[in-house]
Amino acid sequence: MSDGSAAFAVSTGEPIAKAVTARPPARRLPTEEAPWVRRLLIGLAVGFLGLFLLLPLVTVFMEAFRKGAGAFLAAFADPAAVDAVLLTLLVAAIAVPANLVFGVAAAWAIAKFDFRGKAFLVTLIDLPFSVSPVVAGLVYVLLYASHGLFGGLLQSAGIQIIFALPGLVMATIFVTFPFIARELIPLMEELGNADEEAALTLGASGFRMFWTVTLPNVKWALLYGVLLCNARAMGEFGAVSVVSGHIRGYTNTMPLHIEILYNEYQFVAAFAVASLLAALALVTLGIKSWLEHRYAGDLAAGHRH
Amino acid sequence: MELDIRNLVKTFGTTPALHGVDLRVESGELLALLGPSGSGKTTLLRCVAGLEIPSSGQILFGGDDASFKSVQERQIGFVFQHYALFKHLSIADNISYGLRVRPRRRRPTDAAIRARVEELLELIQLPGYGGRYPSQLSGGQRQRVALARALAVEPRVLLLDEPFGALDAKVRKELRLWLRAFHDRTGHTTLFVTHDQEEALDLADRVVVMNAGKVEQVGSPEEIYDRPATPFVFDFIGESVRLDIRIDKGRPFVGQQQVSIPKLPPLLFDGPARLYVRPEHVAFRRDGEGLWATVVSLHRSGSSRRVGFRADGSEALIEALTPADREPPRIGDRAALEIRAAGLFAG
Amino acid sequence: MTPTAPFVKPSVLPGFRLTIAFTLLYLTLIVLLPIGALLFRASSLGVHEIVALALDGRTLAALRLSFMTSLAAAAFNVPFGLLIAWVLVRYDFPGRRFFDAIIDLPFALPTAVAGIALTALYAPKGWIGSIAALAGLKIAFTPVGVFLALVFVGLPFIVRTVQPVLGELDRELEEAAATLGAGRLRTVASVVLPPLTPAILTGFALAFARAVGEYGSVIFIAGNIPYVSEIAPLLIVIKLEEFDYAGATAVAAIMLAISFATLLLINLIQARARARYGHV
Repeated sequence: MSDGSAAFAVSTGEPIAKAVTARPPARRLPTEEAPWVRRLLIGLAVGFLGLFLLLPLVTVFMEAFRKGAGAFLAAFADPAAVDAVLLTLLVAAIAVPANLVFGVAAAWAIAKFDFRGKAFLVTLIDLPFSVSPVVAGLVYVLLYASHGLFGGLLQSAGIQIIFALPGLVMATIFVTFPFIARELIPLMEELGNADEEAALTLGASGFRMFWTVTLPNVKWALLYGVLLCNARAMGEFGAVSVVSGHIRGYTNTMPLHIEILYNEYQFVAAFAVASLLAALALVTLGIKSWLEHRYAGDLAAGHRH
Repeated sequence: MELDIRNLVKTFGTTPALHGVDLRVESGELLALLGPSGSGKTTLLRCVAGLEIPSSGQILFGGDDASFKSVQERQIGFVFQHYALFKHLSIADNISYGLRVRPRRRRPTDAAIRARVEELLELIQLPGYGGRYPSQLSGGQRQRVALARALAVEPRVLLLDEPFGALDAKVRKELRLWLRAFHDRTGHTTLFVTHDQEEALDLADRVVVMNAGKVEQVGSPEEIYDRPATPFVFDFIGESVRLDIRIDKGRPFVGQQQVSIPKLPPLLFDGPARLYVRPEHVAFRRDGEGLWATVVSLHRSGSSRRVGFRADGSEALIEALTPADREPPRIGDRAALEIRAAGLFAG
Repeated sequence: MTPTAPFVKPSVLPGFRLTIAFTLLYLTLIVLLPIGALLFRASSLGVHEIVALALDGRTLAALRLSFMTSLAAAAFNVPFGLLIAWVLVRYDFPGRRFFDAIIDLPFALPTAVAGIALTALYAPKGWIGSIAALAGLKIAFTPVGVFLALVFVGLPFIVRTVQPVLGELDRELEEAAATLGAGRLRTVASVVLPPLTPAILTGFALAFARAVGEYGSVIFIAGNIPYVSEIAPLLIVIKLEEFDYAGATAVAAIMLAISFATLLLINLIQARARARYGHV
């Protein structure tokens, strides 16, 4: 606002930029730490992360290339390695879509509706997180192995689950079960029902509403859930190890192949296969970090309404 | 304890928030910092508290330079807009927090602290609430606890940031009356920030109107309302319309009509000027001397009626208030306006 | 119009019956039925049998090792997890985003990969192992190695539960403490840490639960010496390979009980936190 001089009153407040008193010694806000404290804490945190997280990661790649690129590539010339990669891809290709369908359905029921026992249901969905992967494998063995609960039944029908692909897939589904639902539920709860209700008032059918309103709202969280689920599915070791029976070339996934190579002292080959999975983990984390920036903005836009 | 603020400047990065504020707060005074959002009032309050570091300038507590003192050393009481009560502590522990964090030799005994808490709970009319937790209290009660917590340390100055901002309208009014009575009883030098002019004019001994990092006017509520010193204050406080006028040989003109305004000092300049008029200072008659205008709008507003006029030779809408039970004019009627008071600014 | 099961609040949104039915079916098939089978097996063993199997010296040693190293690793991660969450939330420094992203590495990196990498690092010929060897310390193939692997596995749980709570903590609380005369350290201890406590405990419990059951990252570095560095999950595998299904079931039942107890504890912590802090 332009400041007119008053005809009958003293004009106040000329813009003053003059008379800057001598700068006091550097002071800090009461909610800040002294710079040296800050630097010390950052140094400690970075040092800890470097020692405990980065160093093991770097080790994977260092060991993989210890004897040069030729030795690294030779690891993949082994047909067993190729079979392991293919089997891992196959298991993930079944387990991830299964958990995707489940995650979306569970998130829809839990985030959009109020029903009794909801908290308990969420706890049950989280259960596989706190169950040892070995126990996860064991429960399937107890169910489906030849002397398991359904073992006799399956054997007479000629169906092999344990020490075969179905067992690997089921164990993998078990351990990666909560990932997609866990990503979706909090976000969908936060977004509320208003968008879906608006779509319905505009005459959209249930499926149309889901495709055009719900899914676009949660697509980034969904993508991240799928990536994480996939990384874990491809990397699962304990549960798969229990149900696989280690039949080389038939029920050997990449992590199991790594174990075999390692135990046979083929360290370079073991780390070469491991480096593929580590690269997959890094890509997953990179995309997550990037998505967090993206869909943080999406969420903020959602709040602006 | 009186408070002196001298040429206080604060910039955030390159954005100036305070442009050299000078202000003196007398001992025992209840002073309101009033302004729109972004006017710098909260920044000023936080600089006084030591929560913000001024870029330059001085802050004196009773003649003692506090500019370089940390917030802990300033002995102020600060009440936050959202109370900032510690949720994990009981009401009693919240109130006694400032006493308990003192170094051992200055810390009162446990018995003295308990007695002080009881006394303060009594004072804020929440006796027996010491064992409860903040989540069990209503908004108004939390606000009073926040005040008690600030007072427990016997502050030299009490600072309140939008103290009623988070409350609903009814509680707000009650608490306002309560705070005034409380201040009259305890007599702390108090500075409070508000964007609500009614609150400021109702409650404060003096009001500081701020705009764009500067003090526009300091005065009693009467002075602020009746004699606004700047166009901004005219605009911001109460209602007013702005008329673009012209000064010709020391006399004000609206269009071709000369207007007479009482109590105006001699006009020592010619050229364009702005006239600010409040609706309650406009009277109208069907005949006689005055600024001739046409009725263009009629609105009922509570117990009165607003009549909108367009003066001949002007585009501005001049409003007048008339009792609702009086026969209103009709749209299109002609009338002579008498302006009983107004502010006139060059430019 | 809307399918309204008796236990659901009516809503105009469609699809509840379909999605809840699918969710429950899938949950039952994948999780509840198999775990039920384990519990069924365990119950047919009887408590006496389980206790007898668990009190077998080797099993007891394995359970104790898993339990103690998991507790120690989770406890060790608490101060460092807090420190890292604090630094990531409060300070800006070059590489902050990178370090923030890398926290999740133990979630994303396959456990077997982590296992062989940690072993290579801490083995007597490894980068850290060789330095430790100079000081006469042996890390790999001892309980210390197990502990370090579990530190790796548990770190993200503490950081990721504390980080959002710390980020949402109102700065006004710290300012209020400062205006009341509290110094910085005092403010952090008395105003910042208490509201973080439920998150810290939850993170601790999650890290512990994960660590007790951890297999892949531990077995390589542990060396798996019976009575010394053999963990409980490995014992299950060994018993399975010996076709000792009863033994495997007993150990698994005990571990499952630990999992359930931890889950219950987490829910209790969170319910208490909600009751206490409410919304102010």
